[in-house]
Amino acid sequence: MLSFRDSVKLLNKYGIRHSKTHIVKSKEEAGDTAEKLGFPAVMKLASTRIVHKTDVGAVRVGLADRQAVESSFEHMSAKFPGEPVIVQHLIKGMQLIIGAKRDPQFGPVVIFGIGGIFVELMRDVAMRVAPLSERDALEMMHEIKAARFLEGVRGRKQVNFGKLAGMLLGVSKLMLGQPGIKELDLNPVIADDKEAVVVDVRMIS
Amino acid sequence: MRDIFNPRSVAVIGASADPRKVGHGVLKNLKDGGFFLTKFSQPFKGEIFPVNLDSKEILGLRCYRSLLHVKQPVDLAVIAIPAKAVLPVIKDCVKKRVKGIIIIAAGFAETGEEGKKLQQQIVSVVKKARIPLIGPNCLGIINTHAPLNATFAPVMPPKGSVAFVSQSGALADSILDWAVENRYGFSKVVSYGNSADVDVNDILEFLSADRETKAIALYVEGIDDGRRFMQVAGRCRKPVVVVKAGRAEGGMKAVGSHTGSLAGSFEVYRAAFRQSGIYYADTLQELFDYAWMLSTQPRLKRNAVAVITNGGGCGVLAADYCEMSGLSLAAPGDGAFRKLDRKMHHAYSRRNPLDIVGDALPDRYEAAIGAMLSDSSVHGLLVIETLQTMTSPVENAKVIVSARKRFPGKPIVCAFMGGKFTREGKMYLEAHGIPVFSQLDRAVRNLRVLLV
Repeated sequence: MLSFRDSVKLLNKYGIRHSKTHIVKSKEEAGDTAEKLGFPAVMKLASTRIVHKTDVGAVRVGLADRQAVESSFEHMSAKFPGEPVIVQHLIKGMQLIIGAKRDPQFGPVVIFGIGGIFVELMRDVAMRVAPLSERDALEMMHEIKAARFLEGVRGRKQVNFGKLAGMLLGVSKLMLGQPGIKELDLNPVIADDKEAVVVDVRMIS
Repeated sequence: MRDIFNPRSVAVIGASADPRKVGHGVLKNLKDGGFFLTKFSQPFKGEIFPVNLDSKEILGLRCYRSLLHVKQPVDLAVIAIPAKAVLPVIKDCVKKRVKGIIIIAAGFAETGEEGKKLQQQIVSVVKKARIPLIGPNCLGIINTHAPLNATFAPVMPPKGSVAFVSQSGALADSILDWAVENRYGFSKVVSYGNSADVDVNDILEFLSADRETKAIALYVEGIDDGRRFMQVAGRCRKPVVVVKAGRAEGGMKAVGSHTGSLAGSFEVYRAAFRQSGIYYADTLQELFDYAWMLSTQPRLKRNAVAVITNGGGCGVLAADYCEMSGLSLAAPGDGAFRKLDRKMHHAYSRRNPLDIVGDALPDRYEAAIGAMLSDSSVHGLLVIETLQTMTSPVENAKVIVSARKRFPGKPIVCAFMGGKFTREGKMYLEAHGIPVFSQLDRAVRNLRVLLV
């Protein structure tokens, strides 16, 4: 598995935006970083070993102030000694998942879904064999069963389909250009009417 | 490939007098056009050379000790002997300069390392000699238009315009029997088995240019070169419908990423089919239904269909099924109904679904069909017939067939609901290239398939 740093570097190379993220070594650094990025903050392990970070308490969201950040740092570094801890600003929006893998018969494929139960329980994802056209990317987002969710419900605005399509095309290019990458998860990608940002990434080489 | 499907002479290596042997079935299918004879059986018209060491004559045909003992040219060699004995015969085929080879025998790559090696040896010989090889481990091929039945299948199917390509031979056997019972016509039947040389992509390329084939029904378990398949299928000039077996495999395996677990092999196949413009069928019934539709009807250019019925309830049900499968009912202009007012029962519905009332005779069907198909808002038609005492299924069928000719650009599908006393009308429609079903939902789903 690629390190967090290398993964983000690759995303940048293909124009895929990752949220501002800092690896912190002490509770003071954690507090300073959170103040700089703005509250509420998110903290999590940049572990290469743990897949379902939420399940083991390796993700903390909605940290409102410096004190909450510092105590979270102490808690996490005690529970997972030696694992790097990262601090991000909490981004609001719809949680999506974009991923890719290599199929033995068809080569790289790209998937898109709405994060959380839609993907985990309903397996509600759209898929295309790379390379994707822009039309493929737009179709994918409208083809999932919960597509109307993306169009804005209950006062929420429609997600920025153009930005998300750009991200899907970036992933398609990354998979074709980087044969060493076997699988990748951008999970979650957070999107609103203006932006689409990768908040967590896993790349398997 | 053309020579394999249109040979002037065929040798059967391993021809046998024993009806329990595959080599007997192949020979009989060639000679008589079927193991079990039906009105669809068509004997091969060229020369047939049985090859068997121990027999002088089988089924009245002179037998040869080896392929090389045949003096005349041989276009196609069908090899029906055990795997271990095949390689020397392949070398004879090269010497004899045959134009195509079919290996029926199993016991090659599908059985393990040893079989794989044997298969590779054979492939390298035929590739070097540039002789196309179908199989091994297959049923063989049928060309109903040649005619040629170079299989050990139990029956020969009716002549038609759907090509059936199957990775499984046993499945194809049963489909052929079904086809005879249901008068379902095939142009070609190809069982390609292990596809050691000629693979599914080569077959699709050939069928794409085949004049007798209007649609392709494909049964696959796995495709080796998925990327090439997508290219070939994407370029194919004939619509391709596919059933893919093996959805339960893989997919659920523990993997390192979310994507890995979500993008199982079956889902990737579906995405690839979709991207290549292939029609996907869940069941074998859908496979042949869709291929029937696509081989006989023009596409539904806009999502706006009309329903004509002589039973109100069926009209309502049909509207429900349209809604369920994503088909929209057209809204014909008042002009269309004004034309009909004088000809219809006063209680006719005067809207779509167009209920022409239970006592409708063929003239009412004729007027209704003409009015709907000539309306510019209507792009496809479902004709429903329920059986009343005054209903004439055959006459109604004739009216529909003649409308098909007058409106060649719009698809028509029929639901002739009933059984024994509806059958003759259905057969008339089938024989004239109009898909007809007994089930309303099935008719609607099939019209939906044509939507561009």
